[in-house]
Amino acid sequence: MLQFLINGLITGVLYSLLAIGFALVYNTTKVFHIAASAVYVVAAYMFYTFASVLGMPLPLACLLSVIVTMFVNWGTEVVIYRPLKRRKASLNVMMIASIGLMTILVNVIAMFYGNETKVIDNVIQKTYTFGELIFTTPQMYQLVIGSVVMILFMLVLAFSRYGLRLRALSADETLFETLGYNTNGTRSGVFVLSGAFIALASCLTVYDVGLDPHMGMNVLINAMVAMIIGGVGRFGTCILGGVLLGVLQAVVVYLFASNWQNAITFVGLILFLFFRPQGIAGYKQRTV
Amino acid sequence: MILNLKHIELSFTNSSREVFNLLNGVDLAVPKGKITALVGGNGTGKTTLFNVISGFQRDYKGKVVFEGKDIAGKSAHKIARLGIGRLFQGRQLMGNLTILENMMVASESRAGESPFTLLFHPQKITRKEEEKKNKAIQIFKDLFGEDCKYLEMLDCKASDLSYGEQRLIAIARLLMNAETKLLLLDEPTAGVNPVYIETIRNMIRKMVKERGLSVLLIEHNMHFVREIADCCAYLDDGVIEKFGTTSQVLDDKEVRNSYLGL
Repeated sequence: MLQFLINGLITGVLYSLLAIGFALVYNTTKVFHIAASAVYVVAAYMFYTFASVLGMPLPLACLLSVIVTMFVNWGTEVVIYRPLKRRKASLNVMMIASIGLMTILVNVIAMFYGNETKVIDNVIQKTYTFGELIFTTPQMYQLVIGSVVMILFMLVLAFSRYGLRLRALSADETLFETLGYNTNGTRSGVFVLSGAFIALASCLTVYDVGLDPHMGMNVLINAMVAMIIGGVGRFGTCILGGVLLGVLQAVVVYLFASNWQNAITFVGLILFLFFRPQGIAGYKQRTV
Repeated sequence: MILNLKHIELSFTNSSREVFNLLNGVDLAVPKGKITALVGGNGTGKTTLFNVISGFQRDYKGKVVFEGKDIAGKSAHKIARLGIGRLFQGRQLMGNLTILENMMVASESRAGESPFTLLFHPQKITRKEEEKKNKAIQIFKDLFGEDCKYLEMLDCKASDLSYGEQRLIAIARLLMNAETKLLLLDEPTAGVNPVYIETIRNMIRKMVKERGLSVLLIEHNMHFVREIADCCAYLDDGVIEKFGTTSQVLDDKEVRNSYLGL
């Protein structure tokens, strides 16, 4: 059972990373960035190209993949969302455009790389044993790198003024601009940072389980559920929601079967939407 | 003069694709260190004129000269940094931020926004944040008194405050930016109870007298305008029809007929 819980915790760390990537865009710009699932796939295939096709060392391949993905994610803002916003398109229109972009990107990747599942490192991975617990090498990377990055992010938010700036942007773009902040510049920064989180989640995952062009949506749905469970509007809650979802899925797999994993995700989502729509750490606000 | 509007023209296209001119050549000179009221009927373009000045509406013709510099075409955040603060009609505070954060985020100091400052100069951020907090507290004391209740509520979410209270804090927040010289106040008393209206009146007077700010305000409360404004501009048919002292404009026969319905 403990092994399942630890596996769930590690899966939760990956959900949390992607949830932060998604929440950075959603919380600050209100854009439902579904194309993040395609950006996730782009990151995976960049990692595959650098590591397996070009034979680069894994850390370098991961770093380059993260950098390319940051630009790709920023590109979605500059090419799709910003022009739509300038034309006063509604958030629904932006979401539909995002779905369209996701479809295009996924199909382009499938066209170039094929639909079959690929693996990054086709060797038997070393395992680490701590008492009765067993960790694979990819799991160690996922747990350590994922946790360190999230802790650093939370520290930056807590101790710099950047977090306040993001929350101010999320509250009201017009007021934000009136206070002398460059909305477009801040939004660009948000998309770049979001790209880094999406790419890191992607690289750490596909190093373990391989990749295919259609894997993004399923993972993104889990990340969105993690964000909602944790509490929309904040970033630390994504970690809470992600870990909780990962552990919950692991418990269900342990008690029932793996095909119940997705079902419990949505049961949890529906229960939260009905009984605590503000999420675990969210709060009800006065409507003025 | 702190602000000069020179022949501002702006037209829109309605849903029937008909072009109509909202601003037909607005000329207005806003005196420095005074309170100027901009009055006129609904839909005459007062808020649009504020949007023109503050950079949210940029597809107009004419010149907007602020402190001798033409600021036409500049984006809203650049205009804000030049020293034009704005209070919106419907927008108040950022509800998900605390009262103190709402004040601090309005400061002209950008220290600590880059993660690199956090890495290399963490003590600088702490010092600046402390300065901003002290400044916010001082503003509250100056405007609301030494023992005002907001000093005890600095860490409360802004969304916990009532509409009227948010209005007061939103006006106080305009003082956080030390570079602000001109305030554009869009209906500061709308939806506010008489006690808070009195507070707002005192706040605006203090801002002008003690800090030397200039104010251009839109207001439909003529009693308030008479009490507070030094001069008044009457906007009708897309042009400034009358400009003068407040009593001159509000007692004008044409203004009384067409706007006040007297």
